[in-house]
Amino acid sequence: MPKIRLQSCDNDIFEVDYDVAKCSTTIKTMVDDLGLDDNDDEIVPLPNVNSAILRKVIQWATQHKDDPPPPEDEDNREKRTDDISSWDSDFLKVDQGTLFELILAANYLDIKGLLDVTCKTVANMIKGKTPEEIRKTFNIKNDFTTEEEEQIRRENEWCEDK
Amino acid sequence: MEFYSHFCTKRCRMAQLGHLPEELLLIIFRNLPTSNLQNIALVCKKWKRVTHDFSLYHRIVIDSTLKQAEVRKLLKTYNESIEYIQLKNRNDTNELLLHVRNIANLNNKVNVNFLRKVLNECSKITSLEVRQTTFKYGMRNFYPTNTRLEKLRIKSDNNLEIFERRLEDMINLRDLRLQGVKLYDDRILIRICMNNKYTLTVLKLDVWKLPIDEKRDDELMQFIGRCTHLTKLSLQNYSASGLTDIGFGYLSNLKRLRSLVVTNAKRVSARAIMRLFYEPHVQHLQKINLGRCPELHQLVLKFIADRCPNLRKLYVDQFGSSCPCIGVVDLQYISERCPRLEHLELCSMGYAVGEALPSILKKFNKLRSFKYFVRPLKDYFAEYDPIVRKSKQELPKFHIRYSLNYGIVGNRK
Repeated sequence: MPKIRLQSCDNDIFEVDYDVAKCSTTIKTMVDDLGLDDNDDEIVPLPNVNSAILRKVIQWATQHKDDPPPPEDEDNREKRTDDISSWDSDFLKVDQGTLFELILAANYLDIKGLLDVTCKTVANMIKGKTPEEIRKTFNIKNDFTTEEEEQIRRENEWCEDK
Repeated sequence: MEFYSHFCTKRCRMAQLGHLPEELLLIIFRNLPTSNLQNIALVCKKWKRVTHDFSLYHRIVIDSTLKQAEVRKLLKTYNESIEYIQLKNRNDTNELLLHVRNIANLNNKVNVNFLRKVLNECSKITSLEVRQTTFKYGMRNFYPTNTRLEKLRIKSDNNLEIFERRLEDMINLRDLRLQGVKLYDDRILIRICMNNKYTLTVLKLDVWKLPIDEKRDDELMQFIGRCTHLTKLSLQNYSASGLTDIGFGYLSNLKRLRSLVVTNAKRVSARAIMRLFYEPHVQHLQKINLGRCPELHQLVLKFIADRCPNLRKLYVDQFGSSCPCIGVVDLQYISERCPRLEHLELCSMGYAVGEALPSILKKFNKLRSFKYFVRPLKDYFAEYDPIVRKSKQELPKFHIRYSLNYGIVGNRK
């Protein structure tokens, strides 16, 4: 099985099966376009991903390398956030910082499955919470003035009562 | 080391989920129910900006937590961008839908009069799904006059009568599924096939036709065989009961088929099945269900397995079989020939498999779910049934339960 080498932003090098690495559309296009597999010494640089995160991403990709590609047709899919597999939910029991970087990495590397599951995890953290609770969970500063807040509440009256 | 710890604290301070770029916040918000979005708008200015993105309102699901006036406002604001709407557990569906003009997909329980109104007024609808079992007088008033319709699905439990005349006006059908429907003029199906010859990709029929005339089944097959773009074909129960070898033979014209379901084809001979599977293009088939075909025995099944290496779903049924002897050895053969099999359904296999079930299922490496149904299994004793117990013991990777309709059902954890 052909292997390729990935370099994280802190200059660690990871040797990965091509089958695993091609989960990432970004890496796949790079390898296909540049024909990196012809030359063994070539290294794929990933300047936006650090070693700790890259290790996690590779762990995820190894677990999911045999998954069927996600369906293109989203016509009949209901919005669901409860379909996260048990392996994935264990895998994503990490602190917010790591989750944040995983989302960024999945987006940069274009790994649809990982982006999906991380975003769903965050959505689950938001679901059913009041604005104050959400701010507390994610440590966000409230940048509305009292008047502004009142005005939005009025505008959005259709969702006031629960 | 100092540098690293500095980097680390910096990262923790910066890397808060609230500070994600807007396009990623959008992806997260897409997973949330529509009723949550207004709370999110109150969190901070950036989040508020993101909730106004129209792409969040392409598909909306509205449950009973919202008041009618509130939903109306939502529908009014985002009318242009709504493509799909589902109203869950609401009893004011009819009133609400009148406020939606641009929906392209209707998937709700509505009454007949309303349906007629929607179909006349909403010319943009290209997909219609009716799942209704309670129309008292059938759907004789059902006039799908909208010729833009690409998807039409009608599903019912009790042989719904539909007004079929208008069905033949459809000229853009891509996906037609009629299940539990009663037709008085079965020629209508032939005309539908003729009119939509180049567009139909999915055809599922489970309809009652009157009068039941076997020759017509073959004639219909001739026209189905001309819809060469079909990728999924399903003829169930009464739709296939009159098929003979001649009709079945037309299936060989469908070179793009990925999924083939023909059940209850009582008159189709083993030779006709073998002839179909001799065609080279059957190697692309991913799903096969030839349930209740009495001639589908051992050798035929093995031949199918030989010819279809890409199979993902297989249904084997011995009900009414002329030679019910498919057993462990045959299943093992299938597991070798179809290594990609993910779903396996075994029905009426008698005791030919029995307690060997778990050990044979282990041979299918990619299996994600299975069903095993044996008629004499006493449901009261499902907990004590040796096959159920043995499966639970030997297949730790599967959730196993017993259901009255499907028998032993296993899903990969």
